[in-house]
Amino acid sequence: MLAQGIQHRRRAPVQFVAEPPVPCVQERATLVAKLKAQQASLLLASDLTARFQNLQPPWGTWAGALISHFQAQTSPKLLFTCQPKAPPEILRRRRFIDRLTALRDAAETLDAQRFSEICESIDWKTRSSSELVRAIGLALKAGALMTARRMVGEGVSYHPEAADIRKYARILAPPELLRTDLPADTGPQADLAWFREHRATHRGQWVALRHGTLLAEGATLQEVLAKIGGAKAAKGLLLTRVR
Amino acid sequence: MMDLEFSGRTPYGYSGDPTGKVTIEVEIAGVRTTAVVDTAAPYMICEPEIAGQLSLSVSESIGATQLRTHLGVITGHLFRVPITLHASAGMSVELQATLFVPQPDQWVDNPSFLGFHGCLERIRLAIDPGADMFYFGVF
Repeated sequence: MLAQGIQHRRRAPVQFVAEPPVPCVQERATLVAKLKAQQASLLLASDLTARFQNLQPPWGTWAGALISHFQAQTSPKLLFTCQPKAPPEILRRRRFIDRLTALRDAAETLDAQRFSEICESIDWKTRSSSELVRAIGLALKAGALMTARRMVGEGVSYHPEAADIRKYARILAPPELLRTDLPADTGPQADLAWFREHRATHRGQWVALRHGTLLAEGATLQEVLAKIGGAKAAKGLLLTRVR
Repeated sequence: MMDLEFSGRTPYGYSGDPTGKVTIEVEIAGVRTTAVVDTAAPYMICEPEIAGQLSLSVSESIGATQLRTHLGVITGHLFRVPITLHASAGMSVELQATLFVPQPDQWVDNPSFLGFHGCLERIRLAIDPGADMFYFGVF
């Protein structure tokens, strides 16, 4: 149970006692908007928001009580202060959740730049592997591939035992050259000649070509594969749709 | 003059796409197909019909993830697969790259794309429009 004190000029502090749920940026913004709607004389919104970061009541109850308190005042000129009571660990946790919310917002709006900036402000060393994986997923959604790759690198160093992080590291790693000594192949040149000559008459069809020779065509790839004897028989053949 | 070395080259443009997309022949995990070179795209994007021939297991993927494309935000899975750039002259190159496979209902009648990050970023590449040739090399 946590107690929050609110003081104004002429009255005794009002106490609100509640369990701490997790407030987020939007909830605080909503509360500020509600308070403004009540025409209470507030501190600057930014200041108020900053102060609310340190509060831990259930926001619905607390906000309702606070608004009622303002409504009861004859004078709208009120000043109040809020004393943070939460333990540091809870405050750190809440700040992280706020940033995670901001990350989600940046991902939803495909704002890779904003996403990257928020990521920079988070100490990922203190976060769990599942939190990192979640954030990496958001980075991909935001289109911040390089940020995702950097986070994966951090994840591997902080959680080398985490299988999900290792999977991300393997899949998102920069490309790795496997072979550079494979011989040339005349297939592409011959296939190009076939496309130049027959493209118009086969447009929209799936085709199987071997060195410029049409082996099968069909409306679907499955149809083409069936005609040539299955997927195994397609080894080395060019399979594509004529566009 | 600058001296840059390329290990192979391959013709492009045989898709006949009126938009003039640079399309080359590639091999994705053993399946040979065509792909549009698009350095603005991340990953290699594989059209679902071809992906269906690759013996990919969703359990080995990162998924479902999303990718912003010219078609909007597409949902799909990310895999790691070998990709070969076949040279018509010089040497072909095989690399291990990141492959994005879109959900089939979100990638209808669209080609595969050779993207930059996760795929072409370790390849020196050049295009010769005079000869319709795509040059590639390692560095």
